[in-house]
This record gives sequence, structure tokens and C-alpha cells, in this order.
Amino acid sequence: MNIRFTDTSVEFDEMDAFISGLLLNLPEAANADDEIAGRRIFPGLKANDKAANAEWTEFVEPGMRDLFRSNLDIVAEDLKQVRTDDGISTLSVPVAHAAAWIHTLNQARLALGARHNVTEEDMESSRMPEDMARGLALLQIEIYGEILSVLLAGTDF
Amino acid sequence: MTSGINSPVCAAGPTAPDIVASEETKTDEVLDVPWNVVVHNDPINLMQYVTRVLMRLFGYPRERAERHMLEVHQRGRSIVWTGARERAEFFVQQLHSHLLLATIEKAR
Repeated sequence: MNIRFTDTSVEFDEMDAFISGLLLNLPEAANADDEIAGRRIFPGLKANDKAANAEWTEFVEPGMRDLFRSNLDIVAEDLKQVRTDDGISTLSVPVAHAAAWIHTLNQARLALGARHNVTEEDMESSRMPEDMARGLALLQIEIYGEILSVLLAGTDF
Repeated sequence: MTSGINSPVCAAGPTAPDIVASEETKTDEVLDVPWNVVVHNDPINLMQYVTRVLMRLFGYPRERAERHMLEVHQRGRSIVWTGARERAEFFVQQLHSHLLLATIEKAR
């Protein structure tokens, strides 16, 4: 995969089937509707303070859910523009959507990390775990991280 | 005698002043105690991302933002801001909006 910036767009080129599949899976991976991912994506205000956290959940969290959902919708809409020719895919994303992509890539990494109980050791290890689902999740986190790094370097986020 | 805490009659009575004074002191304490905004470590967030968010939200120069980021990474947490509770809550909301783990706590 190659990512390059123009004045108005971010161009994802030379994506093989595996990479484009991971990219197309981004909205699902970032979904925080399940309890485990939700706990990480929407943490409380204070450690061990049920009342303060309940208030936070009631009054602050809905605004964040709307914001996150809107970022995810932008990415999902952009992904409809993936074009495939001879097994190689390309995607052009408006540069104005880069912040939504940065957020959603990060949200996907965190949600996957929560669902698969990923630790610091997992992230630093070069060995693939025996559990295939966990191994794939780690690979997905890694690849989303690479794309995120490029977007951070190429934008003024 | 009526015993309403806010009643002037009560405040003039033999036992009421203590109650009134205690209530006012407690209120003042709650308002005055500074609160820390604490960012906590997580294994996933990229170091460069955490640095960028701290620069963006708090207006910190890169060096200071990196110091906090490294403290989070090495010690598990870093106090990134201290001040009034309302502002502290605002910063936590902003940090959560950027998917960083953050809480508030009373400053010691």
C-alpha cells in the first residue's frame, strides 16, 4: 500500500486484497456498541466514583457518541469509493476527512485492543500469538497504526 | 425555635452559628480545592498521537507534551493540568473525545 497527499485528497494506492479488506472492515472494528469496547471508548470521569461517572455517562457521553458516530459515518461513506482493478484497490479520501479517519483508525485500534485484551507486552512482541483471532486483531491494530502514523505526519492534526 | 440552616433567626441562636459556619467552610473548600487532570497509560495509543493531542488541547510546546507522554508511558500516569474543577472536567471531556484515558482527582 502507498499513501500520498495531494492538496485536496489523501490517496490510498496499490492496496492488495488483504489490506483493502482490513480497510473495509474499519467501521465494524471501530464500532463501540458492545460493552467491552464501550468501556474503553467511553471511560468515566473519576476512578471509583459511581455518582460522578453516572452523571458523566448521562450528560457528557451522548455528545461524544454523536461525534464518534459522525466520524465513523464519514469513513464508511468514503470507503464506498474503493475501486478495485485486477485485484489492486485504490481509494481517494478528501483531505478534509483526515481528522475523521485519524479518529476512527484510533477508535478501531482501541476497540480491538479492548476486545482482545491486548497488553503492552503483546504490542512489543514480534511473535504472533497462537490464537488466530487474537493474532489477526494484533495485525489489524498494527496496520491501522501504520496508516494512522502516515496521516498524523501528513496533516496538521 | 425553628432550625432552618439558612434562617437568620437560627444563625442568631445559641447553637446555630457553628452549623452555619461549618456549612460555609465546606462549600468554600469544594470550590477552592484544585483538581488534577490525569492521563493514564494504555497499551494501544501511539506515542506521537498522545503528544499531538496534548499539544493541541493544552497548547503545550512539543518538549513539554513529550515529557507528559513519556511519564504516562513509563509511570502509568501523568498530571497534565491542575486547576478549577469545571475546567478540569472540560479538559477530561476533550481528552476522552480524542480517545485518551483521563480522569480528574483532587490535588494534594
